[in-house]
Amino acid sequence: MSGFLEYMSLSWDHVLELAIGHAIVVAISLAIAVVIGVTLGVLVYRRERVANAALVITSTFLTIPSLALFGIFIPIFGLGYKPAVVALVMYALLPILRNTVTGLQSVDPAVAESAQGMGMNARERLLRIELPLAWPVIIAGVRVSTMLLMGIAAIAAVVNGPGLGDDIFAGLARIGGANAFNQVLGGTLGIIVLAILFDTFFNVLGKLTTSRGIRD
Amino acid sequence: MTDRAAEENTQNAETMIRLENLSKVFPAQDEAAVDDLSMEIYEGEIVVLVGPSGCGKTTTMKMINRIIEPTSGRIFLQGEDVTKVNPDNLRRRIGYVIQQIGLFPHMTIADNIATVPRMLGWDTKRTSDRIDELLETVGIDLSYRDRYPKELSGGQRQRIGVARAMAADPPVLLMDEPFGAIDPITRDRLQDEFLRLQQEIRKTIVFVTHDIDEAIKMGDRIAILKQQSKIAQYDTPESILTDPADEFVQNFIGSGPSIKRLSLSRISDIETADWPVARLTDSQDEARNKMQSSGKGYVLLLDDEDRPRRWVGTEDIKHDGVSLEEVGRPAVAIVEADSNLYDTLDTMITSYKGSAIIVDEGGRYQGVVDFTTVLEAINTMRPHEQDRHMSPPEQEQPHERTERDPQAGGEGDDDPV
Amino acid sequence: MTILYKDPAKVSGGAARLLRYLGMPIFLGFACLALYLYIGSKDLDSIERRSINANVITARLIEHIQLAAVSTVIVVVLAVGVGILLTRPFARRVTTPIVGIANIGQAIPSIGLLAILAVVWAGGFWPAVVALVAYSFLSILRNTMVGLQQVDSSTIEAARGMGMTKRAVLFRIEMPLAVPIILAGIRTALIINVGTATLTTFTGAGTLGELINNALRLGREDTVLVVGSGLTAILALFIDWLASVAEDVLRPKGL
Repeated sequence: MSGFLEYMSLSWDHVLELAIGHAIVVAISLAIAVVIGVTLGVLVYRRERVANAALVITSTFLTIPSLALFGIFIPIFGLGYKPAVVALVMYALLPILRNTVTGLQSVDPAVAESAQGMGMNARERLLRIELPLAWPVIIAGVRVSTMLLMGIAAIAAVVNGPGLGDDIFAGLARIGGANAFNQVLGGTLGIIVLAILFDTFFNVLGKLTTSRGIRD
Repeated sequence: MTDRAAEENTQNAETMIRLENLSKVFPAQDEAAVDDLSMEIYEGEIVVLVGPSGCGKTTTMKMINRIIEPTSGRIFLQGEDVTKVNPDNLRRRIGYVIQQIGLFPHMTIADNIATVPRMLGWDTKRTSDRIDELLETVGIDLSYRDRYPKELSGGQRQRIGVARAMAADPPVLLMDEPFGAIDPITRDRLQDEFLRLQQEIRKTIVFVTHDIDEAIKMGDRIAILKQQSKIAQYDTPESILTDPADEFVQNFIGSGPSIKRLSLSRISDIETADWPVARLTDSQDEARNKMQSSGKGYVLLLDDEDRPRRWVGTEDIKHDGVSLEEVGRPAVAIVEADSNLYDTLDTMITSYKGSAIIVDEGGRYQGVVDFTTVLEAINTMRPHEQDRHMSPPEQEQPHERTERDPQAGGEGDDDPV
Repeated sequence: MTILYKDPAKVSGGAARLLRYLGMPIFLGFACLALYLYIGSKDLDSIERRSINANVITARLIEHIQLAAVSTVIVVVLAVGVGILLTRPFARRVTTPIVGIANIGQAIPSIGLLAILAVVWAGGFWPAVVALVAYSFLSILRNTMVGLQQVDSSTIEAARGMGMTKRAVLFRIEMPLAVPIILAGIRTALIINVGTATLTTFTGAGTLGELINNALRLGREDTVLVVGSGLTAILALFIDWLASVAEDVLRPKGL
């Protein structure tokens, strides 16, 4: 234990740098996934068959092991940032898309009908009634995706991507060596801390941006 | 008898809504849900669409604001053909209240009500004043402005739903079983309040219900619809009750149409009998004298504030010096002067001698009504109604459902009773 | 009574259902064929030929399946067992903190768990199994608990009212009704474990992930990497398909 603490105080800058890299790649991928996922969800939630097709396709992404997905993209994108982000975005899509669709579809039909009956056009209904009401569910999906991405981003190190995975793999490569355990533990703990931070952030953001009228 | 808005409208009515050969066929079904419906709805009236489940009454109503688009036919609003205009704009001119209400849960009460005014571009002050005005009108405390729907009871939500529909002051209101999801006690109260409100605001209202009694209570005119929204009868409640067009209507009205007819008349419309009265403080002898001089076997005892307290009969007088307060039996069958005949009959049945005591709002004695009196009134009612079918009323009367107005008494009544 | 889990691709009708069932294996068959043809068209050097011949691939495949299967069996037994315990009335107070821990546990990266165990204990099959079990435990636990809690309380009340003992209610009412949820949980565990198993190549347990790892280390992106990644993906999708068919077949009638 004391060895680990000593290691941390020595390598703090290094670990921090990796952590920031990890956080950034996850944040960027989440942002892209949210834009694509929510937009897609808004486009398909009224059409059952199309929505189902989209959900099946995105859930297929999740089924493919992360290492394999990274691997598939290397011939296309090369090594480094790009394949990492593309793969991460694909992984993050399903929870966000599924929750957007579910959230929008579960808006009380009486509310939707009374909005229509008052003369709101489709765009107004979406922006002022349906999305705000679906918002808590969408945020929940974002949180799920965040957790997913935190773990998967660690694999990105294999394809020369950024992040704390670097330390974990470095430690693995040096099994038996002096700092192996510390590096692995440092990387892992870093990811856990980042995950908790991000999750808390979205939790609070969700509460702040959800109307009091629908908060439980 | 008394005049009704419908009555007078037949003469010089403004048609607010006209449905012309309206039909709706749903893609999955063979039969039309609504088949070639034509009807006119006059300004300032409550028209109730009533019929068995699946007859298409809700579909018909929803075609007026084109939530459901008609397959064929035309809709005219204030003379303008609105069948093909932009539906969102159309709906901002029509208030819409549905059974489940559909308040926006993520908005405050104030924001809910302000929805249409804001869409129409009202400025903040005007909107805010209107919100306050509406909250008062529907009887909700102004402190509820910033509350959320989940904090309100079912009855309160229903009132807000109505307020929201009226926010931009549309000339027409569509209401689909608005009181259906409420408990019967609250529903009764809301219905009464709504009728009182309608006296002030005089909107044109199309009201859908499956409950014939609600239709009779609320409607100036009732359209009884059969399958595919074919009109079985479209007339005033009195006419439908006394003169059902066919067997379908008869069956739909259900048992006791004549008794139901009574619910549309008030005690104030009939002449009540006078009964000998005495005071609680009188002596037994004085009471007996009154009985003898009037020829009736009973006298009604009033207290110092003219409130009826006890019935005393000849057999109760015993000359034993006991005060009148302990003689006879308490008076329990008491009705207010604005009660309808149906409720009055109901009360009379529970009374000892088949009579009910009429009091004013302060509980003071006004008169007594018994079965004979009611029977006479019913008899005078019916020939009058038949007259009304055949000949138009002679003069214009103000828009007043005088039966609902407790002060009206016999005002506006140009027929001798 | 409602079951929360809903397969989004459910299509009714005999022919349509058959098509849905066969869609994935047909697609995967084509993918295999495509891979085969692709590799066939390439000139492989000696390293490549050593990495992607039939024997090697078969060996890695078996390692992969073994690892995933063993871990799944263990984790299902553990998670379902604990799930049952935690949904009993006596455990009600413990449920919330456990759920809280589960949420934090979600944050632990699979590779981190694998690596720590490898460094602290050893590499190879059994540490990998432990890591896989630990990693997927919380998801299956949560699924099971949700499933059991969902069994309509009025159904249970009716059963108790008929005189069934608590144990009878558990085994004859709750578990059969929760079967779909548990089946879904098994399927999820399988997918997770097939995925995580790929990573065990880094801790010496082989599996198809080794093909990918070797490719990256040896720089054979065009050949070994494609085959390794492709086969891994195909395996994962195939097992998922098998599990979904099993789920449908094993679901109690009437649900």
